[in-house]
Amino acid sequence: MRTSITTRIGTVVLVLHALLLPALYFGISLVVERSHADVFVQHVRTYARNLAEELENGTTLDSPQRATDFLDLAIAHGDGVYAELLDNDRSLRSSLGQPALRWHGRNDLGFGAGGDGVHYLALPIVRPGHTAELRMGFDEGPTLAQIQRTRLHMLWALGLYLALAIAATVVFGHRLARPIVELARAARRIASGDYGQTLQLASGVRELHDVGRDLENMRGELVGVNQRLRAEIVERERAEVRRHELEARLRHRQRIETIGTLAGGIAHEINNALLPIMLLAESTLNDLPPGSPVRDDLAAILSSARRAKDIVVQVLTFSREAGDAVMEPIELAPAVREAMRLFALVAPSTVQVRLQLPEALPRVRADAAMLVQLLINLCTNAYQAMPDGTGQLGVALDHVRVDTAAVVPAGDYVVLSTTDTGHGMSAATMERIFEPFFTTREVGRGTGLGLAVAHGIAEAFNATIVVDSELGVGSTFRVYLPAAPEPAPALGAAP
Amino acid sequence: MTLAARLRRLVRPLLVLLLAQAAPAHADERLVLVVAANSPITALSSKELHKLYLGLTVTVGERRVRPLRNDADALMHEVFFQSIVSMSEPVYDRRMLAQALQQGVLPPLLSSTRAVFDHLALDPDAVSFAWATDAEKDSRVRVIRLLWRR
Repeated sequence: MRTSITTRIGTVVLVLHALLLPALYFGISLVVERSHADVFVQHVRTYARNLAEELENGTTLDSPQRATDFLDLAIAHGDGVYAELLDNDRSLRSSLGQPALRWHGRNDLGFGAGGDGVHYLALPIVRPGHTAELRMGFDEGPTLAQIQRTRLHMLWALGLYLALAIAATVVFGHRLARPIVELARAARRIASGDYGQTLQLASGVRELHDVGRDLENMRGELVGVNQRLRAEIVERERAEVRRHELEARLRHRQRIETIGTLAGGIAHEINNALLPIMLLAESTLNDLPPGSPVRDDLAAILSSARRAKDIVVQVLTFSREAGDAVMEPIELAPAVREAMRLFALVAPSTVQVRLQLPEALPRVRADAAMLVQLLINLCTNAYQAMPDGTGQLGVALDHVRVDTAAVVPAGDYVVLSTTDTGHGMSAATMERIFEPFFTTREVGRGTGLGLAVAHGIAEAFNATIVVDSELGVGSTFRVYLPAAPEPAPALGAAP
Repeated sequence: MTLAARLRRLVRPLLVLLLAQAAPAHADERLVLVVAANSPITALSSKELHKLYLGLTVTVGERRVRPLRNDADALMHEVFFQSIVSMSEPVYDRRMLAQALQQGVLPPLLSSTRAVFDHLALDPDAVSFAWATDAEKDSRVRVIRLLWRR
């Protein structure tokens, strides 16, 4: 059975007192009784001896009247209740004592030996000419009453002590149990998830204080471990998301590369087929006399062949097989300004362009002409995404240091970004925007090669295009161009 | 009167009766003061006897009297305190302890009447006490007074 600490302490105290207090009471009672008895016996024996010595040494025995007066004085000045003098078979007795008492031949050797409350003594008197004996009786009542009073006082004292002990036990038990109860309450709150609950014990008991301190330290450790576990879980979740993103990006990249390889192969074959068509059409056109009825037909064939060749060139650019790129460290700002100048020629005036081009940027390794084409393609895509061709287009350059590999490897980058207020893209659209010939516009408007060519150019620059888009808000294209290492200063150059 | 007091009142007479029964057959007679048959001591008063057993000096003529304490049986033990020193036993014991600490002389304690008589026979200045029946049977000692009678 489980009981509270107060009940247990109270039970122990009660059991101990139930055993000890009666023993204490009877022990002290015995001492008190023996002490009083000794005093009584000592008193009456001394008193009787003094009387006997007086009778032996004085002249009291010579006169019966003096002897009777002597016995009266013995009772009047002492605690005697019976006094008798037996002298030569003549009995003299004091009339001041208790008349009902009789000498029964007793000679009590201890207090209370007679059992009748009277202590009898008989002392022989040795005096020439006399064979006498003094018989005295002393009242044991006052001594017995004193013993009873002392016992009663002791009972009261022990009762009061017991009450105080019980009260002190209850108070002490409650004071001892209170911090433990509070500790249990706090532990339950912690178990329910409230880790901010402290386990400090407000107790003056050193052991309880130490337990509270140790539990509080343990709680602190648990809270720390819990926080670390939570942080680790969050970090793992983030890593999982990043891994999914990277896997998706890898799949996307593999698909684009597959498409690029396929498209590049097809473009080569078409290019090979177009080459004799164009050469023979031009040769035949040059050989025909002016006004020939087939000249217009040949001109149409040549025009279509040239248009097909343009498409083939763009497809080859997408598949990074253009082959004529000039890669060198360049500053991006001039290329961006040139691209925007050209874009302004084709963009309607309803598009508001904002440029943010810091001057002090690292250079990047790229082909300036192809970079212009990349930016024009991004801007064209942006303005075409604006409802009715109206909106804002932001073009910016920024220096970014990536510390942890995420969408791009760690390192220094110059980020070329375009931000439009177009209609945005869905996730499914974003998956396919870099595929050649993919377009959301109606058939016949656009070739669907603009972003594919931009992607091919970015790949040629070892750059990465990251797209953020939200339907109804707009899209942002960020081209992460790796910063080219700064050339070492020439020896002997001026500082 | 409490139950404990009633019990004591019942038990004590029985104890005294048992003491009396346990005592020798002469216990129902008299306790007497004895000296050697050739001792010059002929009488001692109660006061002198009291002083003697308290360790004080008592002389007869020019001779110092030497007390012997006879502790042959329980009744004699009790009667010694009641009728010879007229004290309770604890008070007498305390007195003797103080006497011993002050380099005083304590009455020798003998545990048999025969031993007491042997000592008395050798020391004419010694006194002791014994049951009258024993004293009257031994010609080496002489009774000089009555001390206690049942």
